[in-house]
Amino acid sequence: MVDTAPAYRYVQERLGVDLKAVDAAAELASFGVDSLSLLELVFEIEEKFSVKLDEDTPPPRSCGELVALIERLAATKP
Amino acid sequence: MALLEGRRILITGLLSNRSIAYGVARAAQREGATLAFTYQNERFKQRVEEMAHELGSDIALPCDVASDEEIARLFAELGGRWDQLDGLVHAIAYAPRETLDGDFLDGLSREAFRVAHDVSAYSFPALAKAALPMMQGGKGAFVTLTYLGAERVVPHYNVMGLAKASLEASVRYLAANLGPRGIRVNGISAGPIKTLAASGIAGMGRLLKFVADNAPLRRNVTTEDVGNAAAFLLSDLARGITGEVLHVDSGFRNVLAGIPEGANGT
Repeated sequence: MVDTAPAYRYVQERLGVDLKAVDAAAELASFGVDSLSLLELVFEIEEKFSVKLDEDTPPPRSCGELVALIERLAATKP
Repeated sequence: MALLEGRRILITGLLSNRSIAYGVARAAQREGATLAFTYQNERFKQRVEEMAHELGSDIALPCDVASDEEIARLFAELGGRWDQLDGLVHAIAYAPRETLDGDFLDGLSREAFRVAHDVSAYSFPALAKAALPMMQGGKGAFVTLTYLGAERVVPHYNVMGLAKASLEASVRYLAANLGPRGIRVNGISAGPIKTLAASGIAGMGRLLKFVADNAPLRRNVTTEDVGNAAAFLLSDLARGITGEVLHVDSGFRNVLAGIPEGANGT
């Protein structure tokens, strides 16, 4: 299990969102995330966890999906 | 001989290995082309450099097409590496997030319209104009990527459909303008593909399923399908084709809905 704090910190810095405090259903789009910044977000998370997301993993659309993605990646890392 | 042997081709819009630009680059490399790439901002630099390397290229240059200065600098830098350019692939589109959800008028604003048309439509003739001094061999080809939303109403595509209509018109005007110099200009209208960037379009999953259920080929197209068509349009095999928008969409454009099972003896 790797430390998830840097990933949450990155989201806080980039989007101004505390993922742990915000409504899970809130769409990332409501924090100004568009196609390009979503890619930046996904790439940043890939780099933070040293993984490449496979093609079947849809990019997160809501804050809850982003949290789930971060936690799942952390849990699968030794 | 490979289709694009000895050709030098600049590919824009590469973001990930799911990008349409990646499919084009793979096909062009396979057909013998030497490639160069652009990236939109510093955050994508390392990724594009890595993909470029994988595709046998050591040229990845920054270019945000919303900036005249960056377009000019791109070709100044490319000119320092190559003395000739034979092809350019434009695979860039952007519209503000709020325009790609809900109804057409919901997200419409003067600024959103401007940004969508600036990045998605103006950038193609702008890049062509700036590339022209490097395309003197009489065999140059420009290819852009468009979508059915330019011709028909696709839910949630909205202002991007207007920008793509403008882009398709620019294919025809560029073809007329550059044809006398032997330069061809064509577009590919690709069926929906689950790229990372397209994940921003609402209802993308339903759209993919509808196409797979109803298109004559009963499947969605891949970036490889589009890449192969682009390699063809960039090559001499297409030397009689310009001002054309080629649909690489499993035939979806031509159908209202699929023929029901059993109706044609299946």
